[in-house]
Formats: sequence, C-alpha cells, structure tokens
Amino acid sequence: MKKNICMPKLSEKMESGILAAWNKEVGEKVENGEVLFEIETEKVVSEVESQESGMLEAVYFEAGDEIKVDEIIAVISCD
Amino acid sequence: MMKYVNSKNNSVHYNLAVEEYIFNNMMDDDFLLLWVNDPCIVIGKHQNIFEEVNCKEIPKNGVTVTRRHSGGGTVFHDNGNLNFTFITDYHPDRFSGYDEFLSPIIKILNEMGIAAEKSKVCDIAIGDKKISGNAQSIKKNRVLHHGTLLFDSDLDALRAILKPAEGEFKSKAVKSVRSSVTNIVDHLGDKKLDFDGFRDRILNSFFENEIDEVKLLEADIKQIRELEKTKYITWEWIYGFSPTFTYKKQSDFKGHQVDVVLIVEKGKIKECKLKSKTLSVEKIESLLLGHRYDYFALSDLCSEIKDLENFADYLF
Repeated sequence: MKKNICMPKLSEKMESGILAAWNKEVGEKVENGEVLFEIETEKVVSEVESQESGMLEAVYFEAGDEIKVDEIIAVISCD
Repeated sequence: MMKYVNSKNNSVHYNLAVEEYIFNNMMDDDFLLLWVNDPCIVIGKHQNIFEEVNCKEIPKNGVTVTRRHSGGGTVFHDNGNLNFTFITDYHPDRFSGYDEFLSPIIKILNEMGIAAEKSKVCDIAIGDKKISGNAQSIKKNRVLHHGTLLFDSDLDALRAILKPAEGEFKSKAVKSVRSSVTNIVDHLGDKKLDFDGFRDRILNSFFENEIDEVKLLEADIKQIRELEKTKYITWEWIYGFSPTFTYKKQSDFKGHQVDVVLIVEKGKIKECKLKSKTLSVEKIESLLLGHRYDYFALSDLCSEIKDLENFADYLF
C-alpha cells in the first residue's frame, strides 16, 4: 500500500514551510517514528517523523523548497 | 513547574550541547536555562556557513564559530549578551509559536522601564532597533525556544568575520537578514543595574518564591561532553552540514584568467569546472575533486604544488 506524505501544519497560523533537509533518501527504508525530513519556517526547525514503515518511494521536493500545508511531499510504499 | 538550569560555562559548544541534551533526555519537566558565551558566531541549522562567515578570518580573530540546532540566521554573542532557553511540551493544535515565550520576557523588560516590543515574528526591539533574536527547534512533543538579550555587547567587534567572501554563492540555504541593533544598557532607567543584576531580574520574574534549580549530575555532564565532542566542535557539523551550494568566480589568479564553478555537497567538492587558457585545468580539477571545501586544508594542498600556491584564496 502506498501512502502520501503531506506538509504538516505545525502551528495555528502556519500556511507553508520550507523543506529544510531530507533525512532519508529515495529507496531507503523508513521505520515508523524515524525522522523523515525537517521543516524550517520562521526560524523554527521541526523534525517530522514518519507515521509509516516502508520504503521511501518518491520525493517531489528538494531541500530549500517552500511547500504549502497539506501538499504531497513524498510517497512511502508501506510494508 | 519550571526548573532552572544555570550554566556557568562560557563555551558555546558546551552550552548548545547542554540545551540539546536536556531537550532530548529530560522530558518530565519544563526548563529555563540562562547562559553566556565568550565571543562567538552562531549560524542557523540550515545555513551555508561559507555564505555567511568569512572562513579565512576565523582563526585570526580567535573567535569560535558553530552551528545551532534551531532555525534562522547568523548571530554573534559575547559576554554582554544573555541567552535564555525554554524547553517545554509542544502541542501542534494550540501552539502559539513565539508569543508564549516572548510575552513574559517583554513584560519583565517593560517593568524595568524599557520600551521593548515584539517586532517581526520573533524579535524584541526598542523602536526599530533589535535587542533580542529568537529561534526554535521542535522534536516529537517537545519544543526548545531560545533567544538572545543584548545587554552590553560590543556590537562592532566581529563585523569583519561576517563580511561575505568574494565569489558568488548559489544555494537554497536559509539566508541571514541584517538588523539594526541596540544594547539594553543604553535604555535602562536604573543606571546601576549591571549584567548580573539584569540576569537576576530575568530569572526572578519566572519564579514566584524559591528558584527550583536543577544541578546536572556527573553522568549527565559526561554525556553533554560527549555531544559537544561528537557534534558541536566537529567540522562535519559546523561546515559539512551546510546545504548543497554552487560557488562561482571569474577572476585573475597570478596573471592567469580563471573561471571556476564548484558544487559542494556535504562539505565536499562534488563537481569542479575550471576554465583557463594558461593553466592546466584538468590537473587542478582532479586535485580538488572530492576534497573537503575547507580553506585551510585546501591552502595546505595547494601550497605543495608549484605555481598553485595561494590558489585556495581564489576558491573562497
């Protein structure tokens, strides 16, 4: 089963965030609870953990891109 | 109940390790940390250090440089700057961002007769001059908020180090925004209040009766020292963690016209393209490729090759 990973809303007023870094690469295994990527917005660095276990199948953005809340960032094919 | 951690160490590497250790390991309480650093430059987590700091100048000035684990731009600290850190629980649905941390700081500054106000998203300013910059790090269900309070800093001292290099950098790294700043000491009603008195006023405002101070155990300090050693003082973290960037320069090197384009990933030269009619570019390209983009290491490397002495200066 494939799961879309979306830009999370991290505070009441957040509308978009910068994808600051990928902590996993395409093709890499991801465990539930592992940090998948980091977001930086308004000087806040947030580690975003995967809610799924599986393989990181595709990423649609690179580090430095600004992404709207709820936009699809990546796909994980779940175990 | 909030607990207080008093770091008496003035090393920025150590103090950032204290913060991170408490943030990652001490989940059951809320914390306030107050700390002061010897002169240093601190860049934001996702910045390109080479775009922000004049790396050639660092050893000359005897200043420490490191990368923090929160976002934002480059700041400099000295012993006239009071740093404060809050570490507490984080709930996305009712997280106000900066206000819950900045409001009590602004309130106590106002009580001291300072016309401090919130400015932009996460600064505190007097008029249009900044006195405090703030940033955060969020991990699982915890948030770390830290900020500076410019009490009596030597604001001109480190300007040379923040001068950008000569070439052109391109990256998606977080950029610094220059702000005009002022010292709190110049705005105090009570002229007798010194740095320690100021620090006590801030501290006491967070504790109604007794200050609940946590003393870190020897085992904690051992792990903090380990984190300092394996992260905050390392080249890999301070320099190598910079996001991928391109460096371009077209200039004269010892009478040779040279164009250079470097792509640096994880601190290493991943691609290197040189153009010159008079230098043997392939030799230089293969020399630089895969090498650490470090001014001093490249200086050593080039100094051993005839006619290529000082070429490292050209690359920064």
